[in-house]
Amino acid sequence: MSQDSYIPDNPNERIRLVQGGLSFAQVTETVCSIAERPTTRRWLFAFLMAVATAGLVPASLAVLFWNGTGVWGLNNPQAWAWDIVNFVFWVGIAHAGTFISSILTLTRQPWRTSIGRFAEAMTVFSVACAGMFPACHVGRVWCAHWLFPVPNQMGLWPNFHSPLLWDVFAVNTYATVSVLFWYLGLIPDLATMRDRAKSTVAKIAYGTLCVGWTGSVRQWMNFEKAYQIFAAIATPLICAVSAVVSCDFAGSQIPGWHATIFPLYFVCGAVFQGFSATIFLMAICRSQLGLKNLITMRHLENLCKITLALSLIVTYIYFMEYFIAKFSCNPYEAFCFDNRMVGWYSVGYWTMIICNGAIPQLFWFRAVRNSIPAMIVIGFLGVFGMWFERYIIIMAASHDFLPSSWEGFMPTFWDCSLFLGSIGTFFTLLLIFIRFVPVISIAEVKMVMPEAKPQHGDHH
Amino acid sequence: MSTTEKVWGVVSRFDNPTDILAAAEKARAQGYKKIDVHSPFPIHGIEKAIGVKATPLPWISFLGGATGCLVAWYFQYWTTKDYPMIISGKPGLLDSTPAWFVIIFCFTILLCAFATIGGFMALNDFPKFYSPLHKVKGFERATDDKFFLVVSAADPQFDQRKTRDFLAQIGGQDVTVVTD
Repeated sequence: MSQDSYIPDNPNERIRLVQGGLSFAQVTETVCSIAERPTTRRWLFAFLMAVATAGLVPASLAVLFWNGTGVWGLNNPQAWAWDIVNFVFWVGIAHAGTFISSILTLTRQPWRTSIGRFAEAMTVFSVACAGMFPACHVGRVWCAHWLFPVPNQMGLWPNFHSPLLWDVFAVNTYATVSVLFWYLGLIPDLATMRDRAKSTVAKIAYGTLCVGWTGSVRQWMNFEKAYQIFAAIATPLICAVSAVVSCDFAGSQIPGWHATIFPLYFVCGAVFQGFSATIFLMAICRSQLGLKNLITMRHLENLCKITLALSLIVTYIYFMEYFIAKFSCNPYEAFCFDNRMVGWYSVGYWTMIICNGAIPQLFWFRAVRNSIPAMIVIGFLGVFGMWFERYIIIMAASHDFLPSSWEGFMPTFWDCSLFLGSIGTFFTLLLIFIRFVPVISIAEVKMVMPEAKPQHGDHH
Repeated sequence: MSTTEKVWGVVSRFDNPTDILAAAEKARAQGYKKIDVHSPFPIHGIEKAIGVKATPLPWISFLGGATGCLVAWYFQYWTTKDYPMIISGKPGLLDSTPAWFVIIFCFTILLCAFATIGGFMALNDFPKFYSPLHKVKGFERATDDKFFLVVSAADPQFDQRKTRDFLAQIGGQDVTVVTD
């Protein structure tokens, strides 16, 4: 912990959200300098690594489109395989950003200001990665527009009663709304970048993107109102997205999928995973980008506490799901769950239980909540475990009562390469964001500083 | 070039939110109507001090959301009514509605978001890539740590010299006449 920051032991004691006695100008400088300084070697190295990994995407897609989905490891019982796992996985990562910027706005948690922007960026980029999978998993990609509500040559429309079509609407709405929400919040900070820009290119670029912001009273009023409205509409939306995705499964009649707890299960799992990813990346970026005074240990501790609460919910659901399977006296349902625990996919099942249920319990200890290495490890394991959760849900369900379905799933090279490529795409976009855009909402951070409140009766 | 330029307003700088709020209140008390404040973050209470009315943005958002709701509802009915299949509640308008909720909900939010961002742009007169204020030396700090009070030349009480003196008198620094 840096010397100049003061974090009291009592968590009820309010602390300054901005540490180190920074002034408004120093806040601007701290955040903007990250995007303004010359390209560092570390950034370039990370960026080249990310781009190289992202290069697997066009290669994998070319092979996939040329040959068809046979290049993947999916087979007849596992008609839904890694592509769906990865889709649900990336949608899950997206959830923390929207959660922080919408629910924490509505519940007036001022500490969200310094972590919101970064988490929202993660949202936008992971939704982009998620979108890649449904678009390419349809097999005949030239028919990908069938996902959208377009009538066929006989005037027949897609079935609007189907969760698969709901999913298209939910994910596209989510992607659009999170991009707009993110961009809206960026406008005042892009104006700051414009006003600080030295080169003509930067002036034109930031000047265009900030659409002419000058920070007038009317602009701020409209901005704050628009932000509140976005927070209000994004709150039900994040609960809806993963819930609708879960209906793809719950709407079927397959044992292990046909469960009413699924919407809650998916939403809480997704938010847990999103927060784990946020802790993981934030704990790394905070020191790398020199943001210790803006993202304090108290911020990270709060994230850890939310993650712990979500882990408890997820763990409860794991047990509840098993309990209901047994309690239902449905032999197929019960078999499905036993099979998850001791069958072909048991490694994945126990990885899920340990990473999502057991390990986050370490956050009960204050020392762990204040240790950066511990956060990096636990955050990473949370994301890792959540990938296995989706893997278990999707793969193990089709391993059921017909002997013809007793085939396990093994990923092929192209399964792995596309997933790795999507990770590379995510980091490429994130690194571009870090390089060019203020990673912390400068205006919002200034707003929660005590100096921002006019002192009445103290006229100079 | 300068022959076509006319006076646009007078701008002065203040150092902190307390000063700008006091200055805005004084300018208002003096009888100025067309004043504006530019600040790096919203200052609460300033809209009352300079007499800006509440924004109609929530109504625009509401209309967007309501449109989305009705359009999605009728659209789903319209696509199924000509293809009567007596399964899963088709083609009834009310019978099928529960299954349409998700899409109605998503589309409501989508159009509400479009209306909000569109309303935000329109009410602020965005995109607008030129403002005479950008010619003022030091105005770039309005998005950093300084606060600017502007009296528009369109104000009925505006008088280049008097307004300038008034702003200097209430504590404004670097009082500048802006031309357009």
